Amino acid sequence: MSQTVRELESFAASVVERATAAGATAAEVFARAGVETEVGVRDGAIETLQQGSPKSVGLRLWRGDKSASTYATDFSADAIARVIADTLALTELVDPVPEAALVDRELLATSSPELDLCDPRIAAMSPDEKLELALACEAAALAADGRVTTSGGASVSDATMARALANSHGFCFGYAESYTSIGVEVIADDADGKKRNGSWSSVARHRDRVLSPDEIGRIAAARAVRQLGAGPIATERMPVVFDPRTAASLLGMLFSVLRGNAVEGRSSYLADRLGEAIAASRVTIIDDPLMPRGLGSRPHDGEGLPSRRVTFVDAGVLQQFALNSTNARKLGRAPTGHASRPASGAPGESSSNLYLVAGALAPESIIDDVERGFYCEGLMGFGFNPATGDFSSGASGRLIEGGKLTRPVSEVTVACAFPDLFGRIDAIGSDLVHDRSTCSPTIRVSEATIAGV
Amino acid sequence: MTTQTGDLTVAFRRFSTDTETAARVLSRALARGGDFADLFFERRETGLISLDQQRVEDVERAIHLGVGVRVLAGDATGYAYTEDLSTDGLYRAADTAAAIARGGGAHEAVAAETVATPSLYPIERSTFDAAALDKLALLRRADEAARAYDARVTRVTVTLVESVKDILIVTSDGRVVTDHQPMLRFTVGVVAEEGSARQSANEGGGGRVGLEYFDAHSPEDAGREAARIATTMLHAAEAPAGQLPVVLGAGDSGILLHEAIGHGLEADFNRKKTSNYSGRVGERVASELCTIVDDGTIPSSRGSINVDDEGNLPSRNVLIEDGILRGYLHDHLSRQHFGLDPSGNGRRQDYQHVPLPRMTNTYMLAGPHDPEEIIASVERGIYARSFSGGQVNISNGDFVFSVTEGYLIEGGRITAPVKGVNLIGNGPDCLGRVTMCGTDFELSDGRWTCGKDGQSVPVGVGIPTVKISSMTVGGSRT
Repeated sequence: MSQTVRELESFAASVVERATAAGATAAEVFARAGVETEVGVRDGAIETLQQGSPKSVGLRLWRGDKSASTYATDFSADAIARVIADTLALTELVDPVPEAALVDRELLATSSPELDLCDPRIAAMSPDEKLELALACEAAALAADGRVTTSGGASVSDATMARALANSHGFCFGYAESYTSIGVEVIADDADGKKRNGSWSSVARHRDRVLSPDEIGRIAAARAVRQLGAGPIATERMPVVFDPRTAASLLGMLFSVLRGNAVEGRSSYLADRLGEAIAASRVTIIDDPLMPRGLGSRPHDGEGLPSRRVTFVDAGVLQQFALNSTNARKLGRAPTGHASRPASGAPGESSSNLYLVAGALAPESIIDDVERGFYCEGLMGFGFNPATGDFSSGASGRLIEGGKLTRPVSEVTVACAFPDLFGRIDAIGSDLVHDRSTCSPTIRVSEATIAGV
Repeated sequence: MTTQTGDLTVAFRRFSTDTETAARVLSRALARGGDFADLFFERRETGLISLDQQRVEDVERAIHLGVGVRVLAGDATGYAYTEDLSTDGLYRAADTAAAIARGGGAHEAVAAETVATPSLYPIERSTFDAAALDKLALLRRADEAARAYDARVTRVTVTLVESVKDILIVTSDGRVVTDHQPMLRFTVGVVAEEGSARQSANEGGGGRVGLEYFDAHSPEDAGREAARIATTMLHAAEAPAGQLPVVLGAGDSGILLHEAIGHGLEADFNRKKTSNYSGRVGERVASELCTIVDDGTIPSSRGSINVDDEGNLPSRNVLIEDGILRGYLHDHLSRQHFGLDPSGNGRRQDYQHVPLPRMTNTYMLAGPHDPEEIIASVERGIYARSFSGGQVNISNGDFVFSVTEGYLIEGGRITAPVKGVNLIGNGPDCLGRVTMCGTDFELSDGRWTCGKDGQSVPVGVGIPTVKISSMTVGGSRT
């Protein structure tokens, strides 16, 4: 892979050179190439075997204060010459936007930290090895509980990708990264003809960090079986405990309104709240792109700024937005190293390894304290309004009665506007595990509305 | 309906290949056995232009070019894709896809015959050919109308996304077909602010249309409508929580059908017996007012296709007739499994993905009730007019969809706007409670995109005004 990285670096740098020779006053080029595969099984037999070798190049070229973005999959010299000419022609349509200039030279990263993001063993795995893992995972899920009746399939997928970013300030760095994941879905038939599905997957940069097929299968089966007999409960306000997965989804929605695109576009309910308390004082939210082998780690951001750890929310107080260069200039602030680089188009903003800092409480003790409440294990739908912070989402999980998890619940909604939801966090678990790029421990919200029958 | 065969010479040249090479690649794909193979060539060009705060800030153009090679062996699929369209590149992909077949004799691909397709989306004035200044004028007209609508409008963003997708499909059972698929999407985003209150709204539409779309849908109307929704919802009250009658407005509410029943009838889930509609053809799954159709042949609609991504022609498929389940939506694998004719629903996001059974335009036919009579019949309930999206759990049929413009109904009349409304229900339960169905059928303007297994495809939805006697309204007010 390191050879591919070097090749991509020199390719990206050469496109920058050709663009400036063709008349671009500034240029930024992002190239990627790699291999992705998936092996799927169902009912003990192979069902899918897929492999692709994606490659693409994205260009952002400037003429003075005007810029345009293009994307191509053809790396030949002729094709690149045409794309450069097209991009420069497109800049004529754009109004001058001084804030959207190429990233400031003095802010660029001058080295690339080694974060161990690529495991060469992943690309070296044979299809048969992956097939065995998928079969083992499905078998474990089907065998874990007699009430599991049907397999929705298991799969092993992976990708090994080289990326390189170059610009006309002389920046040129590439790196390789890999992912591998194992996942399975199983179904348990319920008494009323409903089917209850349970799925689980584990993903990591390195092969030895993925959960075992057995463990993934057991978790998926347990998630299907514990929903047997689920139904709605009466409409009621009650404490809600969010498990780590659903709490992480809430955190992802909160990050969406910390992005410069939302703040600068006035479509974030937090747009004017910098320096104010936006969450309970026990809440601290951090983004750390430098975690070795982290799923969201990156040596530099999508514009070439050095990666650094940022505290977005400190003891409940909003400290920082996530800003790329353009939005930072528009807001009169400094960029934060959160520029994302989509394969096609101008940079947006994204988090890296985003997490809510763990508390001291065992998750069981958070539930123990609740006389009557809802333990949320699944969220569904698009019920978050970024402009107002209103939140209402389909939910499933279990009822908490007398400090114990009792009957399974589905077909309800959980609703609570975000300022209240984050303000009412009254317990945070110690169970933070960095098994996704956005992670949270168990959290409890003192009151939200459950709508049911 | 006119038919066309497309210009195959142009199509093959576009992908730097020819019939003989395609036949050799297919034979190589079947060299290790396998029952069926196909090649899916795609060139997709997309353009984006957006106006933000009266400035043209962003112009983008992208060209995607690649091929996917698929081999089927029983229920199993081998798939490989590449951007390398050289003969060697095609052979490498064929060899990778061929690995799914383990044993069995080699097959020869049958000589290809051209498939004639309907011509459902002839374009009068392609946006790609239009002068950039003409397109910019459309954006500015929408922007000005939105700003002029109300002084509380603080931000206006107008975006035009255009794409043309040229596909060429060659199958080992002897079919070759090409299609030219245009798509236009026009969106006005508005933020309204007053004091510390803030609200956003989007409006727009499009379809497989050219600039003539704007003759019937003025940019000003889209701008004013986005501004109207944002300012109306600026001071909306918190929605109630609990069981209430719900009246769904005509058009966009068709997303209910998409989530409540459409996904559950995609035959891959039924082949695998993971859908709550598995094995229920002939059973009652909705009230007798409900006749629900998936139809890929509506002229110029966002969800329409001249040919599906497996080379089969689209059709009008009745899913539910007077409340009785009649059939599923199929791709090649599922229709073979069930021994049926193709339904024309094998669709894929692009050459990097395998086809799956997908919806096209999904809608409910008009019923007998006057829409005003439907509202008047509700003592206390919710009227839902537009939506941000929905999601369903295929296995148990539970679905949810989020309302962006909703109102209380009190004493038979639409009254105050309410915010944060999420509607949750269960497919068969909910469709069993459709107690009134309006005469005012409407197809949504082209704005919906459906996601499944990580693949997005454009779809259409439609519905008349309908009343659901009781549904869980997920507000926060108890």
